[in-house]
Amino acid sequence: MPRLPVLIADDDATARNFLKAFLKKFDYDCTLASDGAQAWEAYRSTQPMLILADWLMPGLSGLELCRMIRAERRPRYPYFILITALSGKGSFLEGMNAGADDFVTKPYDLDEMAARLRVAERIISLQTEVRQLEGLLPVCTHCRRIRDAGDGWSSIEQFVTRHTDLLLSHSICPDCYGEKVAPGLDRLKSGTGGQAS
Amino acid sequence: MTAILDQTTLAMLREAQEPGAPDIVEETVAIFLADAERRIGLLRDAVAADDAAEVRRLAHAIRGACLVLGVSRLAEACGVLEQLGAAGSLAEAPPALERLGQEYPSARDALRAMARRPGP
Repeated sequence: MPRLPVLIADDDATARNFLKAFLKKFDYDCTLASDGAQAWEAYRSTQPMLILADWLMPGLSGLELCRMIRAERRPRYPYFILITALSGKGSFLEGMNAGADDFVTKPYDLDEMAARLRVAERIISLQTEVRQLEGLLPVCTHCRRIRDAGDGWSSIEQFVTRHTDLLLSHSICPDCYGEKVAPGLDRLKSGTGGQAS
Repeated sequence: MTAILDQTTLAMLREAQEPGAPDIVEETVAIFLADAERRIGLLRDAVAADDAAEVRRLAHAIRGACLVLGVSRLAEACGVLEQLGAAGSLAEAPPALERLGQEYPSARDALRAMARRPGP
């Protein structure tokens, strides 16, 4: 299972160090940035799926970084957690309206932070599942089974039923009717009977 | 009265210690103290220059780092200066700065004592 690429952006070295240490137990692939501009470059080059950014940074703020990331509209939606020592409903609303998925205040409540990171992981894996449905499906050239999660191969019925709310109703397309079904019916009508091939 | 240091934060940091790696509490405390001393120096200059915006920025930065490590009383002292800077009026800043100067040595000594404690 590949490690989740994470970007930590904070101009405070204590905060960066602390978060890096805390996130070790989650086994993420962390990149650190010490200001907004560096964070933006790191975002473009490492394509993190989870971003933890401090609000107040010199130059490009965490809030502005969030807006820029959302404006880019990449196919993969990164989960953005805004961090701040600023308090108050106004800050919260401004952060969420800028496109943040979550908002965390300093001092860190580490149990809460862990719970929020698990939420982030759930949302990210949900997105991965959706992408698998929208993207390229490996199909066997011979039997037409689809490669499913964990290297199993499933029939199209099994795959669709497992991954969507769709129900399949079986019918016969015109080509197969003409090729496979109609000759058998004709034989029955003409009385030659026998087994259809 | 607010505690000088919230010990649970550093205890949690110690849990992230990897065997054989440099001591994580010692490393983080060293970073904090170096930054705090530098910023307090700049804060004094900003108060002397009556630069409210800079006072706000620096006080916020120190307070943020204090909050990360649970240095509660020092965080409070910074909070006062941050608010004065935000209000744009530094008339009350000198006594607030003096309080900060008094709180800092206790915070520094408490952090160093925690950093010296052996891990589990």
